[in-house]
Amino acid sequence: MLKFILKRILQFIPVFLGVTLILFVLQNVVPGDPIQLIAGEKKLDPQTEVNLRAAYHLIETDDNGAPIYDENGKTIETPLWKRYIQYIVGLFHGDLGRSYQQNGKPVANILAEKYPYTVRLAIVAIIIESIIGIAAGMISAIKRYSAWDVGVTLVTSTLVAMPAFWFGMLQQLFWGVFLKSVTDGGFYLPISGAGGPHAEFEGWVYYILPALTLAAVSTAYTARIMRSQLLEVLNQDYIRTARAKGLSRKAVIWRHALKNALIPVVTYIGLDFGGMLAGAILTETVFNWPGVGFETYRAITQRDWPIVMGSVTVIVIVVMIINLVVDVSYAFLDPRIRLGSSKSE
Amino acid sequence: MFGFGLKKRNKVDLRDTPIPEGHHLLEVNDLKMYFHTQDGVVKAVNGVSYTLDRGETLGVVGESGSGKSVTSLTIMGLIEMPPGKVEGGDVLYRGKSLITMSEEEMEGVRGNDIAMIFQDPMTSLNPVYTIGRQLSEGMRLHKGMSKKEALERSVELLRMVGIPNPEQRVKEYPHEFSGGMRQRVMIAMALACDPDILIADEPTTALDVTIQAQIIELMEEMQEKNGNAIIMITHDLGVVADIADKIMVMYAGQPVEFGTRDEIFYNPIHPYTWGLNRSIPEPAIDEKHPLTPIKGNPPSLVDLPEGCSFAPRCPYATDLCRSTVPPVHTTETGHYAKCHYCNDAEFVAANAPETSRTKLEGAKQKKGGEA
Repeated sequence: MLKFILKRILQFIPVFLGVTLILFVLQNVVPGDPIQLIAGEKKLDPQTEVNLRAAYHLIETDDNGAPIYDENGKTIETPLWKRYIQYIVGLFHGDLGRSYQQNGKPVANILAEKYPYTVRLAIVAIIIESIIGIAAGMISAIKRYSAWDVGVTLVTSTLVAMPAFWFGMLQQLFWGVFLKSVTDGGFYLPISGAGGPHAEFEGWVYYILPALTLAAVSTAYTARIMRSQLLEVLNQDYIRTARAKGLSRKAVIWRHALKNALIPVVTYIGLDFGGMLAGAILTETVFNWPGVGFETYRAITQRDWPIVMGSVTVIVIVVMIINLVVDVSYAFLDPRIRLGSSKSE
Repeated sequence: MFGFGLKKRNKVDLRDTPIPEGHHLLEVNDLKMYFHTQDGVVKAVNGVSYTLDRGETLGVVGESGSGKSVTSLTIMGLIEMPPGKVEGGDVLYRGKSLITMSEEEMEGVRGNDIAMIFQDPMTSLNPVYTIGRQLSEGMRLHKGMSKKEALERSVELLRMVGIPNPEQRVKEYPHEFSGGMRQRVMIAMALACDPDILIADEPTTALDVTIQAQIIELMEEMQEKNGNAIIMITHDLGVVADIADKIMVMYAGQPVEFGTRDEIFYNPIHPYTWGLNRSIPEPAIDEKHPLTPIKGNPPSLVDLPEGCSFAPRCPYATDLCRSTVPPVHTTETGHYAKCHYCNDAEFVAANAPETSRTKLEGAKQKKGGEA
């Protein structure tokens, strides 16, 4: 098992380098000079501009951070590959660069502020997804072709077809606007963090709508996977064996079918959790959620490349770790793929 | 969390009740199991009757789709209803009807009084649980054993069915066992609660020929030890030739001939049984002779032909066969067949295939004549 995990971690390296390199190159071929972006309409004093370029490691500097000039008295632009290496080296010191806006605030600090919101939202959403999805799928499979089954199939088909952001807006409209006006402000759900992305999000009511929106499509998928898996498993020979042993229908489902049926469901939920931790850009934007997804969206619209770069770097790492956890748990659920076990060697 | 359903049932095991006077251990009386499907009514089992006592082995022989498996699944109460429906007849176990029994009572019979092993050992064990856990389950359920007791007994059972190093193997998963070993595990599982009747549904079909013999021997050995009855379902006459006391030949959901092993092999009276006999290769006899297959395919069970179901494939069929369902002819030994002509000794003598016994006798006479 340890060998398997180590092997997977080694496989991370090329993936990680590949993704970051592509992004690094992309941000540099996008037109627009970052320093002019910072300056905006204002004309920058030449010395300030040189200092800024040095601070963002866009030009060659000496050990003290002072710019190096060539024989013509001009600054020397740092080549792309060198900046990429500097970026990777910086990562090992927890340095993700600094924002072009927000007064050059370190990206690591910005992400550290935003991540807790994304993580909490993802956890709430994944709990909703697991409980409702698995339960709905199970009941559908057990009571196949019943009114419940037809209902679940209808609802899940609709949810799968709906774009998440639109579903979010519909919810805002119903729970936040319609209910509020109908009950004369007596009952409603908050539709976004009042005051924008920096608002405090402590009250649990704020989580309801964004989490429902984030979980909606995945819950539908979970229910469908669960239903089809359980139906398939219930047709297996070993289920008949269990019945022939004298186990009741219920006992067979709980003791024999469930674990087998859950294997693909756990994989799906795990990978989905990875996706949610990567920041749900659409949902977070619709609900003004102060997480990394919304921050990334903002950074893209404002061309604040260090933040985009930083959040993607963190996302790549998080998703890879989640994938590893999913693989390990898969092996835990299914003994056939327990790799590197002493017996198979 | 998943502790559902392993409570010991507080019921008297039916196994311990005496068989009422005039009854057998298992009696199947004119059992009819039909499936109601969109295409029509499938008459999967259409009037099967037999009796079975402890220590006996019944061989059920027939082609695929002849209703062999459905008969035994009906006895076990493992047919989904609907679409299945018992349209007539009864199954009596120790004089008690299994057909009218409640699901809860049936759960107490299954795996306890009547156990079953299935055709494909590769898929009949749950891949995600250890052998020990799967073996223990039945004993915890029916005998109220603790986890530890059941596991200890599992080790014993594995040793009994000839699995080496059972203390270690009991902790392993099905994928770590070969096909033959898994079938041994299935047998151990079926025998765990010391059942009265062991139903084996083509237990050797999926195995290597060399392993087949081992598995059959194991079942015989276990039968000698435990005294249980065996119902051996197979399409291989060779398998039942070794171990069956009685044989039922099924065709299109009906028994066409029933008799002792010797009667079926050496004195068959139904043309279908003749056909089966002719299609067995006989390496024991020196001369090569071409195998004679039975021409055609079994009829659709939704749309059975009028008259005798076998008539369309029977080389001796007459207009009578094609219009009237044949009655059952029973001899004084209980040997019966469903054919219009099977009590016509001349017809049988003229058309029955040579059996190894008649051939040997023929050869002896020839030799004697020469000498």
